Amino acid sequence: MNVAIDIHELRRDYVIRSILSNKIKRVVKALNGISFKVKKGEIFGILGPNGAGKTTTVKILSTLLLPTSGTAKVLGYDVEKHPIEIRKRINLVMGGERNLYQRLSTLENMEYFAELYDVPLKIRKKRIYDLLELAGLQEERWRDKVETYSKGMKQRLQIARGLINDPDFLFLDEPTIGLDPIGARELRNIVKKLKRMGKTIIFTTHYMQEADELCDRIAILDKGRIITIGTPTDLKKMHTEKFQIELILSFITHEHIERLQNLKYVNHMRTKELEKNIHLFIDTQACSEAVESVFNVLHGIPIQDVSIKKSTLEDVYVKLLGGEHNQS
Amino acid sequence: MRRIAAFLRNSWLAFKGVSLWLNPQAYLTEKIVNPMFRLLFYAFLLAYGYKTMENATVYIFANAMLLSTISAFNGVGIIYFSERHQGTLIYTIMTPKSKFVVIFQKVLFHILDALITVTIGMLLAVVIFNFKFAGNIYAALLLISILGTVSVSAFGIFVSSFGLLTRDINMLLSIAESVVFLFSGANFPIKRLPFGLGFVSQILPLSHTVLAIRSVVRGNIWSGLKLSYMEIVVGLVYFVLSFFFIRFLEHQARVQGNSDLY
Ligand SMILES: Nc1ncnc2c1ncn2[C@@H]1O[C@H](COP(=O)(O)OP(=O)(O)OP(=O)(O)O)[C@@H](O)[C@H]1O
Ligand SMILES: [Mg+2]
Repeated sequence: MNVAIDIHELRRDYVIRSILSNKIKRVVKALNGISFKVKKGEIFGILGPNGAGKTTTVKILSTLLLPTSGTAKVLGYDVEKHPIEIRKRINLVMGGERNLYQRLSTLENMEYFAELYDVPLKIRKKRIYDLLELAGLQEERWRDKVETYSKGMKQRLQIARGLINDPDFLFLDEPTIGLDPIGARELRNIVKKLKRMGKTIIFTTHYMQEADELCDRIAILDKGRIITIGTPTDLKKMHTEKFQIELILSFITHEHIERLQNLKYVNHMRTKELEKNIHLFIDTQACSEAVESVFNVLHGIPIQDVSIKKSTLEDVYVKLLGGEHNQS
Repeated sequence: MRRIAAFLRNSWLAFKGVSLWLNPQAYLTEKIVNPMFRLLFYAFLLAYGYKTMENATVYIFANAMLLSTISAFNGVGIIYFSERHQGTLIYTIMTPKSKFVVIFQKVLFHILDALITVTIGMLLAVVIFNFKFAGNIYAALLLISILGTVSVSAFGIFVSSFGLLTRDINMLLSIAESVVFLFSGANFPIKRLPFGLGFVSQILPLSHTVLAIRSVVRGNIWSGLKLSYMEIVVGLVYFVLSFFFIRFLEHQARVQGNSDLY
């Protein structure tokens, strides 16, 4: 396996000190010993609630932050010992409107960063134009100051900026935050294109659909720990049943519920009363068999609506993290 | 050639990206009108407060020289603060480029900018007070101003680098500016400082330049230039110090994890 990232027992504490006495007020354990590997060419997603430690992980890997303990290697280089080697080969894009020179134009920002990465002069101009085109920034705005741009335009510029050194490895921390649906989709297409170009990508997001669509593998983080890791398909298999059948009924008896729960293909069932109707949610691995046996049991009860959906990454997320969703 | 052009272009962009006085109006107020009044104030104060015009001349030029502190502290001094504010500090840290080159690029145009202000100040003094010097005195003054400006800018980098760790850089800059003013000797002789504080001025920028200006205006060009070389030593020390300090603070920023707080 060609390893792009190798993290072992990584911990990071943030020490918060009192301004006056410089005494330690609190130690935030942002990462509590996480370990994982990312293969070259992979899109690796990091999901998890606010404060889970996603950005902290990204910052350590992009050499902005030192680990408290544990090791992190990027493309074979240790983040503590060889940050410069890493810096040449990576880039980082943070979602949002900052991280750009607001008083410079798009072209000026790109030029500046090209020089910061010593992009060869011969190809500099072409690369800048190609990247801006890739990021989908309208050419007529390239000479306007960044402060006059909309959020989405700034985000696009950030993507272009993040590719200026033709990095092997790209960190994207919530790159689609605040983008409109079409903008977000375009960004996903860019990410796919980058993957085809052979780049390795670490991607954080709060949009499950997006992670499902893009990521080869996903780690879900909570309170600085990895609670699960795998391909989206594996995660769905591991943590949820494959299908969820929803039935809307006018009424149902206790006897029916009991009989349904005992059916072979019904793995889990839950009922909910909504607007005078009963909603049944049935989780199953075998869709058609379950439907058939459920309909048999419900014979004589008017069924108003049936829908079947495949379980999603969101179901996994909610199952693993639902309920005690505490922010930090 | 193209390399140099790219270097200059980037210095210009770095200057433009973080400056407070970007539009022509702001530049005119901050870098021309404000210094003009500042200078006029000192000039008249001194011209009528001192017995001989010769003494006043020295102080007027010295104060013109002090105008370089506007760039050194409000320009160079806020570089890292401004980067932090815009969220670009992380890329200043993350760049694989030599930090030496990066810093140099960032300050180059601030130095030129300071030089413009100082030159305007001195020209203004010459015109208003109708000074008449020999050509070589002007040349020496120009050289001294350049060295002094570079030196005070290096000091500016030193103070600015604290911006890598904290966003509360303004008070630090105010103090630094006052200290340089006080110990420069531009408005009273260093010797008059109490408790033998005079020695402090030796390690601060502009004090040697002020002495150099005094020498030159009095006609001792060579001894003036010699003093000016001392100034460049001071500046060099600050520049080298800043370089290592910035590397240390960048490491510290990675330890503390506050490079994107603003
Ligand atoms: N500079 C800092 N000083 C102190 N604590 C910090 C600092 N940065 C992050 N933290 C804390 O570390 C923990 C992890 O933060 P992190 O930013 O990594 O979370 P995240 O998963 O990226 O969250 P979000 O989804 O909100 O972006 C949080 O509890 C946060 O409060
Ligand atoms: Mg985050």
